[in-house]
Amino acid sequence: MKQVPSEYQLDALREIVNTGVGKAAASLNEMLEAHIELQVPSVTLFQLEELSAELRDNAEAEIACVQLDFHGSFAGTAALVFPPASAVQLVATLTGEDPEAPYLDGVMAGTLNEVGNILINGVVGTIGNILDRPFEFSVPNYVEGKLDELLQQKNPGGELTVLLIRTRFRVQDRQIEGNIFLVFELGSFGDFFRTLNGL
Amino acid sequence: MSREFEKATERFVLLDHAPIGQLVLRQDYVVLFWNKCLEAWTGIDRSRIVGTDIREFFPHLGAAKYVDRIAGIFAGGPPTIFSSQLHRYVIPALLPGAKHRSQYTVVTSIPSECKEACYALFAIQDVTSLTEAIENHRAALKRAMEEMEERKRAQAELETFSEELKRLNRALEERSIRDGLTGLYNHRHFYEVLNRDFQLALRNDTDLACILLDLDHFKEVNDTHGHPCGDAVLREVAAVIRRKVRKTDVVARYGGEEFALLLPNTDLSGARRMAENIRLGLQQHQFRHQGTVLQITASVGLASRRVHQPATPQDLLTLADTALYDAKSSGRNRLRISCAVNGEIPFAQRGTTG
Repeated sequence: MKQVPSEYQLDALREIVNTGVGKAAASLNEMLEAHIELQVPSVTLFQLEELSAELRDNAEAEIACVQLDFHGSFAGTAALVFPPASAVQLVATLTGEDPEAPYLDGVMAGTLNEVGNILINGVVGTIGNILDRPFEFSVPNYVEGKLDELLQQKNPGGELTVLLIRTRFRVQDRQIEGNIFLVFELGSFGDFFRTLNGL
Repeated sequence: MSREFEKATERFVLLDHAPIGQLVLRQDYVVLFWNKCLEAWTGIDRSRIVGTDIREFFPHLGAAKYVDRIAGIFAGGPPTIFSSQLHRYVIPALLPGAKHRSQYTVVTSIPSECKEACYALFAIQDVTSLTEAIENHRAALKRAMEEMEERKRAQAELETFSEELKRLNRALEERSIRDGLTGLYNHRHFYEVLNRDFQLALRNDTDLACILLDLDHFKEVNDTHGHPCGDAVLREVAAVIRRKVRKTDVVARYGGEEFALLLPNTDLSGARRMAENIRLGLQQHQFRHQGTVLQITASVGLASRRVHQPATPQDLLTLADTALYDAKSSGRNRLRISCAVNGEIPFAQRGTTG
């Protein structure tokens, strides 16, 4: 069941995402000594199997991912994925560690988990707030693996609609990239867009 | 304890059995539940903290970085994480040695007794051992780097020391009075003795003879048989000379294959006998080196203070040298005695083979 969202729906979606990412940036700035500058995120929609070639390039690499499942009037998984280089840069910047340090892996999980949590909550929390529908959330989960496996593990083989929010931010002159994937469960995406219509 | 707190204790008492720190917070930051684990970590009893604003015990939780991220929880928002890397701890809990437990905290939204707001459930994991493992790794790395630096420093010190040793050795060599190869006095020391003995002879009006001796065709020995052979010959020559002289005589290696002798209190005829004796001794000696048998001869020059009347020690030496030159140019393997008169070589004698 393919959905073609209207311009109005897409605009509403962009606004929600902007608000959410803005909130996340504010949280990050507040918490960290470093000033974090977030660029306006880009939003794209596609079926999981159409995952763009650009993302495919990273498909074989081991990536760090923070996941949060949500259930309510629609359901799915939000996953924040850091490309490996960005993950290292981000953690090194925030913790003041040497990016080459062999023990960086050890501090990576916790740091990425929290930063990912802030970004995902910014977006997902804003969606929840604006729609004013109760949602249940899983406990955030930090996993490392290949992109395909990470995105498909909740719904293997299903036709999944993915909302990809690409965020880029600068911390202390370092350019860091993080991609938020909202993977909707089968049928859920239609529900989500119908809810947007109701706004 | 009010009814609400009693109900909360009943509802959450199961959390007492979890080995993680757990607490439940109302929207106004009043603590509803405080589990046994937190009691153990903080030393604060449940009865003391339940019903109180948590910020009275832990004022840092009033900071925006906590309040803003917890606010959404009371509205049913998604869970919030506070990592040990970016916060160290949420509830300070001291360990022996004045260290805090490192904590990884997840705050989730749970239904409340009233419908308007949710409660915030804090689940706090102690990740001290993990944090310590990382810190140990870091410390080990730092130690390894320091050890490497230390080793480099020691190496540099050793090199400096070795340079110093070389310098001292050179200084010692300069101060030494012996020739390293033959064990005879060296050139420098010979000069000192010459000066001293010449002055003594002047003052006491005693005689002093100087003999200079140069091996003939020595370069060919080196060229044909090699330097080790040449060195052996020089050592042997030194031994031959030493056997011939008296205890009061001074023998020095003057240059490459040149030897100098000072004979205090010895007149010309005595000195001539000595010089001739040495020259013959060398001529008759068989030099052997690794199966090679060599014949070596020497040209000898002699000057005497009383007979030739040199004005200075240097003059005495020069007269002996001129005589040696004479011996060389008149066919080698012979002794020549200076022909100086009153310290001067008569014009008629100059450049001749007298």
